[in-house]
Amino acid sequence: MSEITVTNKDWSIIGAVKTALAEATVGGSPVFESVTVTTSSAQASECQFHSAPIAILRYVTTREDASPEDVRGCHVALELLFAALVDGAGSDESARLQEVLRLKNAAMNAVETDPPADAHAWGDGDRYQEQIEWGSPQIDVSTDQPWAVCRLPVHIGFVLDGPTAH
Amino acid sequence: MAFNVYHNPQNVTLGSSSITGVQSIVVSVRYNEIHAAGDDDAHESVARYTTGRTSGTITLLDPTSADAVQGDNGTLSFTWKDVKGSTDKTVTIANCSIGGYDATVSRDAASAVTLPFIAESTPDIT
Repeated sequence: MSEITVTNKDWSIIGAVKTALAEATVGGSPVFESVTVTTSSAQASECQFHSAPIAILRYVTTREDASPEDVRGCHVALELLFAALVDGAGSDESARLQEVLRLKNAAMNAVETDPPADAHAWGDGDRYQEQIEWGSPQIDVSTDQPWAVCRLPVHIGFVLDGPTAH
Repeated sequence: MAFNVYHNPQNVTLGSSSITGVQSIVVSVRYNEIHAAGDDDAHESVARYTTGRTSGTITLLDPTSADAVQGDNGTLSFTWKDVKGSTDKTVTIANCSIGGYDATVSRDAASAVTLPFIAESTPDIT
């Protein structure tokens, strides 16, 4: 039996993103009432059934690429979901869109303000990974429900110094 | 980790002038070669580098910034950002001369400029 160590950096990054979202405030008030972690897209799709803005952090995958000297350039792929109840929106979606865009932008500012300590850009001759790489948001405010929902992909880069540094 | 990787050149200045919109900087240090062989030598008996020369190219987006420094002399300085956010490097090249430039401003495309330089010193990387 060999004694090993585990750094678990992808989990550390998930935890740091969760903390950044949970602790984000605007004007002294929390942006999100709650922040939860899931791996289930189905669970995430039900995030709108709340009366206050919430965030769900869905883990998608971790990818690693071999670099010189056995260093591993990695990223953890996440999908952030935000939902908010906006009453009286009617057929005009402006209020719902405004609120869900506010939540999306607040989340981006929160993560960029307090980036995970283990998050780093990385690159070699084949590939370059930004420290925090945002994808395009998918927003749904057009349902019959008064909830506005946003899905925001993000890749967060990190580095492992060797094959036993996971 | 036993090696460093850098990105995002920043804080590019020539003397007191800022060069803005920089996308990349190529720094080349080359040495002249001397080769010699005797009549009966099967291989060169002299193969050495002699004097060095420093040159390079700055690629940027801003044509007006390039125009402002063309023909100027001074110390070229910029920062290499460490990708892991640990130890950034400052590159200083003294006695640097900026030559002309090639500015491309196109329809429905971002402007692009190349700005060559030569220098009378080797880069100082700290």
